[in-house]
Amino acid sequence: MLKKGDFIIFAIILGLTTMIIVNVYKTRYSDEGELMAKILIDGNLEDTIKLDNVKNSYEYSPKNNPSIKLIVDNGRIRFIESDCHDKICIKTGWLSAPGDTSVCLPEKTVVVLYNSKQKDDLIDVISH
Amino acid sequence: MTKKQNTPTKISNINILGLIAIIAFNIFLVNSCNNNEKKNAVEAKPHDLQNYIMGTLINQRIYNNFEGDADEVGQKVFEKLMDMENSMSAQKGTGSIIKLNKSAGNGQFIKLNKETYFIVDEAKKFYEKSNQTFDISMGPLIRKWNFSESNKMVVPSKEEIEKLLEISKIEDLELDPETQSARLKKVGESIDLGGCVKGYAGDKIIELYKENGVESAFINLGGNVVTLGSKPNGDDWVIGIQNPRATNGRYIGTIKVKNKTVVTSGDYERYFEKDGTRYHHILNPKDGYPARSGIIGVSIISDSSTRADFLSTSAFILGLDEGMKLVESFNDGCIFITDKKKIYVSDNLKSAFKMDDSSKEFEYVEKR
Repeated sequence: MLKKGDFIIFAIILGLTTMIIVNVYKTRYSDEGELMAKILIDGNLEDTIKLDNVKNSYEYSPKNNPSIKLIVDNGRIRFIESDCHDKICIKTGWLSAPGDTSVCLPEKTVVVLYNSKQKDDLIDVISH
Repeated sequence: MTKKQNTPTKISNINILGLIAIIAFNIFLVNSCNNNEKKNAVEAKPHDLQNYIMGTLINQRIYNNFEGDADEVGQKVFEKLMDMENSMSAQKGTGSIIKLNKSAGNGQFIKLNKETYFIVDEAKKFYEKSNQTFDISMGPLIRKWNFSESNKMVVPSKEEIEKLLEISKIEDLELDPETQSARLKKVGESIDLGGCVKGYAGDKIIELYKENGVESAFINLGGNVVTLGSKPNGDDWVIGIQNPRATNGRYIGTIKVKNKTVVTSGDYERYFEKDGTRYHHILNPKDGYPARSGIIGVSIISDSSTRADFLSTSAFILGLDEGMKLVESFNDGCIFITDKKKIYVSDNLKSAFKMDDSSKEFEYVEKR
């Protein structure tokens, strides 16, 4: 019934479309992205810092609030200095996973970790 | 001749149909993994706004699937919160609560604005409803413990606390509904709405969202999460419950909600440690010390953010058994986390709660 040529065309089309699908999935799901830190001062995005493959740890102070000092290490970041009176931000310690958050309320500064590729669709917000 | 020509034409017709079917099926496959994202991107975009009001971090997410400007509404919300802070704060500004506290003992009634009177009245009524655990008259003790400056925190002496308990009495707060005014009987008395202002503000902000036509939004007032509607695609909001012994942002489980509020009280927000004891900011009105009920965190899920704020404090102080009874008497839901790292969830929440504890330190006790 079917001709040899029909099968070839079928095979080519099947192959092509499969490739397209595989590609779509690949770009969407298998790229792991990078661990990043977002620095927000008074609600505005001040900076984003890469935390993956940090060879030498270094200190970082936001331009809009030099009294704050953070230390950036491989895969993690933390407050080490702030002019605030409660030092809760420093006590929070290292942040190392997407979603980890340290807030310095008196200095209106937030550091929050995220992954550059994966949108964290798991939860919308945390109650604490 | 006719036969020879006809047969192949028929077959290739079938083949073309087959081809179309395969292509259509594949297009469908490719599309189906794109669909959700596309739909949301076109229909509703989230607007995130952040500010510092009421001594805490405020986050809003407003979806723009309504007739109006999400950012404009967000700004209105921040202004409303500043207004409320001004009139209700016991620490900052020249609002009516500060005036009321300053004039304690001088006999004068102080006029409160409508909202301030409402919440003071509700809070006072809740004292009895909560088995005398929710108490706004503890201003003197709150100031003594001073948990907002954890650097300088010291444990007050027993004598000091007993003296201050004498001027932390809710029955000394007199309210006059006729004139919407209040007074405190004795010199040195003061009220502090810290345990309910954010809760009340949550309800007010949801009203404001609705007035402005917003359909899908949430506001996070320093950990009090209040949601309006569902997500634009109809899904429930997924709220993480903070792990009380881990970095901010790590959770022990999630709860799915629509049109509800999730308010959490814990011993980990403001505290200090001395000689191996943790002194946290939730004071028990009975003895003036941080409550020790075996609870390290409790979340209340409710239609009313005001009540959820009342209940989270009370449930924390009352502990698992009495606390859960109280919450259930209001038909609200709750999640208790004990110092033994066990998690208890009220029956009405069991289907909405999901354990998701990456620390693997907590145990969900389904049946008590």
